[in-house]
Amino acid sequence: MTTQPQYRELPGRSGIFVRDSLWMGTDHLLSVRRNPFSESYRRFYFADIQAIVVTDIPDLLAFSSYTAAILVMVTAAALMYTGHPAWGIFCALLSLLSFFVGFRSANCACYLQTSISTAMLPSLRRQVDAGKAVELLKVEIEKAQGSVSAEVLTSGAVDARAARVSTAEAALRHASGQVHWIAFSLMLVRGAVSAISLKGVVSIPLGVVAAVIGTTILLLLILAAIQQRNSDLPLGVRRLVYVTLAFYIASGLVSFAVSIYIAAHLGPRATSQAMILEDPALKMYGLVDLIGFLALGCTGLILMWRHQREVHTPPPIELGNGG
Amino acid sequence: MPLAPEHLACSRCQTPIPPADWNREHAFCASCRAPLQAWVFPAFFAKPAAASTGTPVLEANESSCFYHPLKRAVVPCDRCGRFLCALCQVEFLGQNWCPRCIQASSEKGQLAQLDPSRKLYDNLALILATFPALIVWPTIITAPVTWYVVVRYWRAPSSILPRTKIRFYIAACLATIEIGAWIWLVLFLIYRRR
Repeated sequence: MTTQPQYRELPGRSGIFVRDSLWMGTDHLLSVRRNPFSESYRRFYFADIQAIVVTDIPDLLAFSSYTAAILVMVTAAALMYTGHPAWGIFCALLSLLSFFVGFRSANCACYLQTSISTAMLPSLRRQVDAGKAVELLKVEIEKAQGSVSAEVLTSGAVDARAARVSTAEAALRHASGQVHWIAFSLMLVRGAVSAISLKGVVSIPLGVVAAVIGTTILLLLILAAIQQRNSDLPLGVRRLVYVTLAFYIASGLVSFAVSIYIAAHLGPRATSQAMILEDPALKMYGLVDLIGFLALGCTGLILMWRHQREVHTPPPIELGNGG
Repeated sequence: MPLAPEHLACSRCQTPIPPADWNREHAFCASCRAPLQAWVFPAFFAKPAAASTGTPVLEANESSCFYHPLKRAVVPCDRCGRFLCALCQVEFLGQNWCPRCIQASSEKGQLAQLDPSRKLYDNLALILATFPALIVWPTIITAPVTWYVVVRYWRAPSSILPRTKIRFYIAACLATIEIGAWIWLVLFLIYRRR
């Protein structure tokens, strides 16, 4: 007797040479790992599944890949423009590859728990796929087990388990966010300096001030990124710090690229400083830099202000029936 | 391993997830603040049932288990007909099986429901037919080997997932072309010398 079960594929895949995928049978979930010459299977029966936990993880690889892709694309355009089409095409392909890597990078982790084991589902590594797959799974599991009512969740059934989790809130460390305040404020100042430079006012003191402020911001952002780990600062603020750091690095790299471009473009023809300042590439870079610093600084200050207000606002007074 | 079997924990920092955050669309880890979803099902609250060890034979005319002669038989195996006690009875695919029948069927590859792995011979044949062709000369060996794999494993159980035999067909075609090309080359060299 050979019985061949029927399966349908769930969203989500991972890997290239070793691929993971999830398949849904009539009474179980099948996790498949496919090597070039073999497949290995792991079965989770719907009646045995206790819980599914999906956690978002930082999408740093995607961010780095997209940044790299943009930079390589700019390089490709520059190479094309300067008469090196072969290298330009090569860079464009590299850029596409970076985009692909960013698109495929993991941004969530999904774990499935039974009474005897906890297993990671490697194919559910993208939030979109995990969301769709978990919705489909929930339907099948609830068909097999029924659903958990709100009463069960709040009743004594979970008391014993809840006792183990009572210390979760204590793990958070309070952070005043002073460094964040200073960094975001200085970014506005840096934006203002950029605006002055963009107007064509260039002097050595202004350049020194811009450099000092820029370095201070960079150091403060690094300090903020260290301080905010495991702190009670909102996720938005913490992400913004990372975004700002990335913007800072990207800004530096683009500045370098623009300088090379102008040197190659103008070369010995650059007879005055005004000629360099009037170059459209430099003006464009200055404008993007200005908008970036102002936008990030303002967003940071607004998020910090909202957080401050939430922390310092007492909870509303509970009024009785007569109130 | 972020989760222990007896509680739910954040996959990133392993901080336990409080029950207030279970079965909610949007929740955050109390420690690392990562957005998370923890879906809990009734099996989480169920207490594990005590396994039956079987009841002893009390009277002389009672049937006993084939594998445990001192235990009372409760059901026959639907495959081999042997009497089984509660300890040996395995409910599988809607039938009662004895452990030996399950093991035998599994070893013969007859139970896809129990297979922990399967070999993909069609992939093997396809790779044997394609990759060596990139450096040409190994195909004098790999093309016949491809044909051997195709013929030998044509009926072997493949993946338990939906899968066609298209890889076998392509591998066989490529191997035939490669063998044909070698034969042509040999004949060409022989007739050229004459």
